[in-house]
Amino acid sequence: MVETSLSGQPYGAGEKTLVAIENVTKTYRPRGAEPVFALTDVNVDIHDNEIVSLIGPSGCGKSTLLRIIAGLDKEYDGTLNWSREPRPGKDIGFVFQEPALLPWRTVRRNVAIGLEVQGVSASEQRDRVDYLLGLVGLQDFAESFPRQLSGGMRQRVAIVRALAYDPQILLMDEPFGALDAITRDKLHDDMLRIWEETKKTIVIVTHAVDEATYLSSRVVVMSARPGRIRSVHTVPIDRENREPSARQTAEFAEFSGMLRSELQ
Amino acid sequence: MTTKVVEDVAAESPKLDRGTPWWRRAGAIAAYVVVALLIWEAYVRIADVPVYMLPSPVAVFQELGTIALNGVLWPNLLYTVRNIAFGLLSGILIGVALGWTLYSSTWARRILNPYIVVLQAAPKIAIAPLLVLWFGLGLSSQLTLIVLLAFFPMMMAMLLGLSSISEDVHSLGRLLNLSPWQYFRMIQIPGAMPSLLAGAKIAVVDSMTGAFLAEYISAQRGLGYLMVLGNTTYNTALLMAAILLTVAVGLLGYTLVAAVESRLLRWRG
Repeated sequence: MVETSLSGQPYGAGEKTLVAIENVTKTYRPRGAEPVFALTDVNVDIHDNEIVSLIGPSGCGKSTLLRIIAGLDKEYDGTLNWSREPRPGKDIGFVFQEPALLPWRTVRRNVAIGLEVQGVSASEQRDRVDYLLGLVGLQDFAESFPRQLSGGMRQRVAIVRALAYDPQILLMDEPFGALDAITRDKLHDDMLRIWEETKKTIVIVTHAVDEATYLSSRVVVMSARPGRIRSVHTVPIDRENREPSARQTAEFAEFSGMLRSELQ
Repeated sequence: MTTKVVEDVAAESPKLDRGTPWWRRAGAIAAYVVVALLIWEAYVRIADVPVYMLPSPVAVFQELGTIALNGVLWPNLLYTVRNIAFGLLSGILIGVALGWTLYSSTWARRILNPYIVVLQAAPKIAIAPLLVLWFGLGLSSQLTLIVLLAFFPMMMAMLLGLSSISEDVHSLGRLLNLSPWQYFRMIQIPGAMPSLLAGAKIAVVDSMTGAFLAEYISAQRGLGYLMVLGNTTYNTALLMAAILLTVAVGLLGYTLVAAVESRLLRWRG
């Protein structure tokens, strides 16, 4: 495993560890078939307040790793060493590839569901949802139903739903994979703005190197069969320079090019 | 780009125009009924049909008026409607509970499935005499038959509705640490609701079939009993009046479900 930093001042890196993933191995043993090694001896630290991307070819176990961090998958070997153990139902925000909204609830009530479950007062729910919808420009759609929104808007709702109860970590499983390129770029900027505003620890699973470069402070590259960590890179682009024009810089091209070659 | 999408959606979201006003739709239905009645009346007069074969609509409505005034109608109507309502409600509850159990437990599915298939494959009219034998001529055999007919579509609807809830939504429930009851109430019931309402439309009709079937066979009261009475006494006007009443009860039940549906499924637009 290699740790590199090409140049420049990375943002949000090198701070306290939120969760240390230690020797995590996951093997599926289907009855009557060869075992599948989804993850083998995975070691990586997730730091407080950073955006880290997990990239790799399909079948490298990156989504499996994300589900293990989320506590959705408990059948694995190894340990997750949290600096603050996540409280059930309060500390994990999760965004799926599909928005997975509840179509019978308005946008407001979709975003509020986590608060509702925790018994937060109605007025507090209202304020919190208004603030979050404002953050992604959907304040006028609070009373709409998901059916009435475009795909990008739905995914924005899914993102703020995951943030509503202020989790200590936001996990995103290929969250922009189902969107068109233009909407995807918009959501990338939304994500950076959300991070600026909340300084959340965010883990994004993706197979798009541009997305990983644009959003993250560090990129974890995984390889397939068995799923292993191949390398971890610090993105050499300043926090201040994360704006659409950054995608045209030589630094950006060089770094994504390097990631792309690692994936081959 | 985003603003464009936002505008498009905003323009299309308030669906104020709900088509024709209700009084025009009601008028159209009334016109259909009047035309049908006129043709019926004309046919009876021109072809000179004997009254025991097909009484004129006027005679049927006269009979309806007579039984409404002499007190024959109301207890019988009430009896049947009450049985349908009670049997349907029980059928819905049992169907939803069984559907949930079959969905949630592999063991329950394995054990109960063969019984349910066999029970459902048997034509209910064949079971009806047995029910009379076991439960007697009274209310319990009738209710059993109604429940037997009504629970099945609800159970299937519940199974279908629950399996339509996506894996991601299931994961969401786990991430939010929902208790089984919260998950049932907040996710499963609303998620299965479109299927349940589709099932309820079938269950309404099935429970009516069950009620009339039961009354044919065994009852001394009810709309089914009025039909049998009309039939055996060659009072065809009474038979026709009872049939009209069953149609009215059926429409009422269907309308009720449709009203509940438009209230609960507003989000579908």
